[in-house]
Amino acid sequence: MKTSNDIFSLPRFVAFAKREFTENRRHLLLQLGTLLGAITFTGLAMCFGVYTSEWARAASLQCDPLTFSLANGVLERNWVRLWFVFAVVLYGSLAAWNMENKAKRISRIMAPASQQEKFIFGAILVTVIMPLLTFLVIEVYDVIRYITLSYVVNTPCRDYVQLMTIPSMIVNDVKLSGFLLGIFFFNSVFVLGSCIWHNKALIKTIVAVLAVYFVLMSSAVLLSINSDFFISLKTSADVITGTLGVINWCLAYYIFTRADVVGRIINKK
Amino acid sequence: MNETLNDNLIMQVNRLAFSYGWLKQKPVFTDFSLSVERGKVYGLLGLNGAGKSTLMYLMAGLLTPKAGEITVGGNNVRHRLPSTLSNIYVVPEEFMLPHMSLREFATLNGALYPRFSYDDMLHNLAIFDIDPNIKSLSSLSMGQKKKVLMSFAFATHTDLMLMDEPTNGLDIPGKSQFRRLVASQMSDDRTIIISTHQVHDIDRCIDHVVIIDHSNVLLDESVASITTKLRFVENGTAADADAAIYSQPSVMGYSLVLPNTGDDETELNLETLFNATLANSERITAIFNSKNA
Repeated sequence: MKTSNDIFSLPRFVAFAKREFTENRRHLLLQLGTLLGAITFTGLAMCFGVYTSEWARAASLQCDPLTFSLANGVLERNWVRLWFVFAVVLYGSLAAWNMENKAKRISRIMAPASQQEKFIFGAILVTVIMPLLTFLVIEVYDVIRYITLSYVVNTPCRDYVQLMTIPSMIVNDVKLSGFLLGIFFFNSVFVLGSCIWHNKALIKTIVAVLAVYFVLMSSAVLLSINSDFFISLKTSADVITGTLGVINWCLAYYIFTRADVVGRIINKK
Repeated sequence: MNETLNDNLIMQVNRLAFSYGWLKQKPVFTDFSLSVERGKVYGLLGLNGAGKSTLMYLMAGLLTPKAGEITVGGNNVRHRLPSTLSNIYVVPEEFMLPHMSLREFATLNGALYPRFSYDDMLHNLAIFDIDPNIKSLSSLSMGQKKKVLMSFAFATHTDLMLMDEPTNGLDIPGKSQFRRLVASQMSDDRTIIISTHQVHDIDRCIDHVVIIDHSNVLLDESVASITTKLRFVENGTAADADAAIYSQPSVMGYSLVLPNTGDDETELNLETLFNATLANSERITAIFNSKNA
């Protein structure tokens, strides 16, 4: 007989989460390290370009270099935002992590925790922990950027290199609700993908998203749907993305709780 | 009477149907039933592809049956309730151990099993001659990993233990150490189901034999019942072979399975019994049915 303890128990959830994190800490650190490496490499390359060229241009135009740099820093701001969104969305693929091979699936399914606890763990991982860690990685990158630019680029420019500007960069100039809903929706797509495909979920989800996009666009062209239709959709975009995101999460839970060690994706319970 | 019978059962497999595939289904079980008693070591035998591993996965709730159900302690295993999961431990043929020390592994995983005992794990490791100060589990050899996993598994004190080919990868001392471990860990409440092809590794530690061939349970008898009804002879002659239920040439003449008409009991030869059951299942079944009648 199912009791409330069979649905959720905080001490058990904590024990399960501790086990999952500790056993996979190397894998997580490697992922975050790779992200830091990619951001730092591309970021520094871009910063050198922005700061040196803009400084030179500002000097030639005889205007305040800081104002000029900020005004022309849109490219970098969008770039940081892009990395953040990219990482947070793609980490949705970790929702049903540790299910990529038979041995891992046995270990995960047989762990004495409820289906709800296992799913909630995945949900917290991709909606709270990974975004926070991504943010932390970007902050680490910011420190690297500050140190590097302070000591490598020419002296006057160094005075305008500021630390802790990235958090505001991510949310500046965007409609926050739309921005968060967009992240929520795309994240949910990858969460759903991770529950459907246990192995290479990220790649398979990207392919599936591209395929769906191609089919929708082709259908729109074939059915001669005019642009007014899309403009009308734009006005209710928040509602649509929010609803689709919730549907994706519900579907992900449905599939997750029916996953078996081998065989079909969806099974009756 | 029925209540007493059910109390003694740890697991019931009721009219199970299972197939692999979705569009093109490959049936493995159709209307398969089996009862598993408490406090016994079961040897689950069958040919390659007979469905042993599939049955183990179904028993653990790792697969979803098309029809029927498997209950452990009255709960459907497929519901994967924590109370059920903390009472079943699966030692799979293929598994992975994380990159961490044994102490850390035992602390993290033992927290999920209410009856886990660290001291018992150390005792089990001592049986396998394994030094417990392991800094990285992932750097161990396959055989050592198996010994560590089994030591941990037995220390969880789950009522049901499912082991798929547990002696694969073990060295020669490891196989006898495994038998010692099983013998030392048995209790009235614990049931162990061992699925294997390595019959010589387990024939001295099991007390119940189940031989399956897809949906058919060819034999489901206790070792005591088998040795009461059947006689196993290792050095039979060609003349003896003619009268046997089953015979196969051996280095000492013929390995035979004969009806046991006297009171003397012989030692179980699991390999010969398995071959005899596959070759002459109707006669074997008739012998055990006549006992029950």
